[in-house]
Formats: sequence, C-alpha cells, structure tokens
Amino acid sequence: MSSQNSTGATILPFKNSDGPVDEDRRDFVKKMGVAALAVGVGGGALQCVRYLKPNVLYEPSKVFKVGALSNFPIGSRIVIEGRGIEVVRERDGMHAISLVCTHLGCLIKPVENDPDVGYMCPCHGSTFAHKGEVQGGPAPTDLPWYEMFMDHTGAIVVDTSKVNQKRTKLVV
Amino acid sequence: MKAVNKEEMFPKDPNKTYSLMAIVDGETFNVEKGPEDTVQSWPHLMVRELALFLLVFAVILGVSLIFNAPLEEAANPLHSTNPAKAPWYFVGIQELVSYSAFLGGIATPALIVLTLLLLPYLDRNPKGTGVWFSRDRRVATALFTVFVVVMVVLILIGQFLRGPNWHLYLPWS
Amino acid sequence: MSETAYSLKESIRHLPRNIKESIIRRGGGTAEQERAAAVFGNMFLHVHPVRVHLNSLRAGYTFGLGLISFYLFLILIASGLLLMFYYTPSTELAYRNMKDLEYVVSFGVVLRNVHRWSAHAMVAFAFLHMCRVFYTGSYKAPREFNWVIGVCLLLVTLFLSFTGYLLPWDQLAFWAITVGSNIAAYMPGIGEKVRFLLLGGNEVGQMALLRFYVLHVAVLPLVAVVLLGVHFWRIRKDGGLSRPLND
Repeated sequence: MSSQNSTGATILPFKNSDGPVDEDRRDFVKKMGVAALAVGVGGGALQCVRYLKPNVLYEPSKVFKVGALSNFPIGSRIVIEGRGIEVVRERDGMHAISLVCTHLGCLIKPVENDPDVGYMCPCHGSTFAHKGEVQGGPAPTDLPWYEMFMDHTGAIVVDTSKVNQKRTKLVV
Repeated sequence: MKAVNKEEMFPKDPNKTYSLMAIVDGETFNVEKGPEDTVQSWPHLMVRELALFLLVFAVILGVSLIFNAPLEEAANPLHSTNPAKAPWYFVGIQELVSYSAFLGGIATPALIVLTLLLLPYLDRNPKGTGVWFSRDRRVATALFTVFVVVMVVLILIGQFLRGPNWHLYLPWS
Repeated sequence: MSETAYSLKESIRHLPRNIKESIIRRGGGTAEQERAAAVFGNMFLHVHPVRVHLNSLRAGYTFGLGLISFYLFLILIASGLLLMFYYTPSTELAYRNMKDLEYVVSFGVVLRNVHRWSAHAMVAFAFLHMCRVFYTGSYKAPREFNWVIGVCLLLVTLFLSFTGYLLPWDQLAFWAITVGSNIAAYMPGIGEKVRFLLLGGNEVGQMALLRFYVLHVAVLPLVAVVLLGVHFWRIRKDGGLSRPLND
C-alpha cells in the first residue's frame, strides 16, 4: 500500500483500509479511555492525600486533670500552662475557657483588674469580655468554654475536645 | 546600537545584470532592509550575564558579612510574641487580616492571584508591547501602579508602624 | 601518521589536547561559526539562542531583574545544600543546630546569612521582575502563557520562603507559622482540613516541622526547577524577549 513521491522517498499510508470508520465506536472507546485515566489518576491522588493525613497524633491528650478543687479558690483565675485554657472559679461555679484566639490562634492574655475587658490578644488586638464574648478587634467568634467535670478522686478534669455550647458552670 | 550600513552588507556587483528569472511561492525577501538587529550571544550576552552574576554574588556576600540573620529565642508554644508578625511579604496580608480574617486572608489574596493569572487573557490589545509605560496603556499602567502602591503601603504599615497589641506606633517610639 | 597516531606513546603525548577537545566541541570554520558552536555545543549555554536581539541587551529595558532572581535561586540552592549538612528537622535539635551554625561551625553564620538574605532578595526581585513585565506589556500575545508560569513561580517562591521560615524553630518562626496556617484555615469548607494536612496535626509541632522541611528542601525546589525550565524555554519559543512591535 506504500506509494512513492517524486523524490523517491517511501510514504507509508496513515491507515490500511479505506473502509468506513465507525465514529460512534471510536468516540466510545476514547471516552472510556479518558474515564479510566481520570479514575486511575484521581484515585491515586486521593490515596496520596489520605496517606499524608496522620492517623495517630503524638500530641498532648485533650482530656486532662488540672488539679484538686482546693487549688482553685473562689474568685481565682488560673491559667493552665501548655493547655491553652484558663480555669475561672466564681461564687456560682467554675468554668474552663479557651485562651486560643479565635482569630489566628495566638495565645490570649487575661487582663487583670478590668471590670469590662477580660482577655486581650497580643497579635491583632482582639478583646473579649469576662465570659469570652468578642468586644472588639477582628476575632470572628466568642472564646469557647470546654466541658469540665470532677472525677472519682476529686480532681477537676477538662476535656478540650468537647465545647460547652450552653456555657453551663460546674457547680461544686 | 550600531546602524548597519546597507551598502556594505549588500554590495552591488557591476559585472552582473539583474532580471526576473522566476516567480516562486514563498515568503517575501527583505527589500532594502538588512538582517535583524541581532548580535552573537557569545560573547555579547554571556559576558554581561557573567558580570551580573558576579555583581549579585558580591552584593549578597557583602551584605551577609555585615548583617546577621535574625534568630530569636527558641520556639515556645506557651508564650506568644507580642506582636506576632508574619514574614515581611505576608505582613500586608496580615494587615488586611487584622480587619477581617476571611476577606483579608482568603478572598483578597485569591482575587489578586486569579486576576494576575488571567491578566494576559483579559488585556489582549497588543499596542504598547516592549515599551516602558507606553502611552497606549495608560489605564493598565495606572491600575497596576495602584495595586503595587497599596501592597507596598500595607507592608510598610504592618512592618514598621505596628507595635505591641497590633496598635499603631510611630517607628521611633 | 596513520599507524603511529594510534600508538600508546602518541596517545599519551596528545593526552591533554585530546581530553580538552573531547569535552569542548569546536565549531570550526569561520569565527562566527566558532562562536555559535560555543553556545549550542554547551549543555548549559544552549538554552540561549545563538544570536540575540540588541533590545534584549539593553540594561535599561530589563534591568536584569529576572536574571537576578534566577541567580539568587542558584545561590539559595548552593547555600541551602551546605546548610543541610548541619541541620536536623527536629523540634529538639533544630534550634541548637542554628546556634551551632552561628558559633561553632566554620563560616556557618555567613552561610546562614547568605541563605536568609538571598531568600528575602529573591522574593523582592521576583516581584520587581513581574512589575517590569507588566509595565513593558510583555505578557501580551504570544507570551500569555509564560506570564502564567511566571505567576506560578512567584507563588512557589513565596511558599518556599514561607516553609523555610519555620525551620530555625525560634519564636519568630513558630508564631509566624501559627498565624500563617490559621489564615489558611479560613478557607470556606476545606480550610480546617488543609491546615491539618499542612501541619500534620492540630498544632505546630514535630510533624509540622518535618513537613515544612520536606516541602522546603525537596518538593518545592523540584517544582521551581521544572517551572524555571519551562519559563526559559518559553522565552525562546515565544520569540525572545519582548520588543517594540514595529521593529
């Protein structure tokens, strides 16, 4: 089926048969090929992402003891170092409030002896009331309260994986 | 740029006569025009490139011998620095973030990047190519200048005017 | 000549010349051909065309900004490779390694300075290069796609610098990355997941340091080198540097 042009070079034909081409069939095979490629590449990429998501975290436990009740006298505000919370005990009960700024995660500093402002973020100047409500600055949400209970030994335990949505105080 | 002497490049041969021999299909020849204004890469371009590299290297080395890179105390997750600043090229974004985290931190940068990526497909007028601040592109030049100035001003505010608690301070106070 | 030329004695006598000629190929012929061969016969120079337009050589046109960015990238690769010999991506050792580089290792402090200042300079010069390309209208057809690659390169540069920022593990690094990764968490829907994946956990710790290290020394430089290759190749395929139309 090969032919020759004026220079004598051999030109191979593109296809061997001059018969009719089933365009539908070609189109179907092409679509199937593209779909198989997409599934393969996409699946591989998804598995790579899944591989990169760690299953075990070597981080401090989210449930931890903060000490005996006697360590928290009425009217005290005690920052638990390394846990990003403050334990506040007032006359009507106690609660654990997050000290991680809801804006960009900086550590908030409690403000001493101020009747209105309870907390202040050093990074972008967000201020929060004593109960954690946003007062000013770019923080989008209030500071969360965490679940708190007393275990059988009488120690106060805080669980930072559970947010105390209703903001109820632990009455002791 | 040295002007090319046309007579020198295409000397006329007095012993020859010129006449039309044939008409062929193809691109036209350059008439009354010398070759493009090009020079050989070696040595004209590469000597300049080498000199520039030596200059860059010398400047970086000189700066490094005089100024030490900053190194603060070891990282301590228990104490935020006050203020906590991002690297200087992100301080402009951080300045925006201090007004609104989503608008400043996600929406604005995404919009900037998207606009930059699509720019050559949005501005397709070929006028003014290859000329600094071409008069044919006054609007584009003005818009881009506004963008650059805003970025630079935001970075300067964030880097030099923001002090503890992200309050505005004058740089010398 | 024919037999003796291949004798061992002759081979040893011409050894230096033969080695030199095997490495550097000569174009032969005219001086012009010789100079052309110097460009296309060399693997490192052949990204250049044999001839360049005079406009490309005008310092007042490009200010060499793109080239300076590339040179800074080369300096960063060289100094970064050397720094890797003394660096451990561990929260316990990283900061001590920094102190060692500063006080114990010969020329360590200079290398660290070179790496840090080149990184800052590269971000600045890549941005200036983008400004030059904009103000000269050089992103217009047929160079649209090269502009897109350039924007990607600028993003890679920023991300390279950002990942490198955490590695000294000092206060500056820790809180800058805390703030930066929390900005990413504001992405609607996937923000928290992206942050978790980037840090390999909920907080900036050992996993985050290792991830940023791998991104900084392997993944991102590889991406940058590939994009740079395409960027340079496209300059030639798009007809060299831009120049006024009626030329």
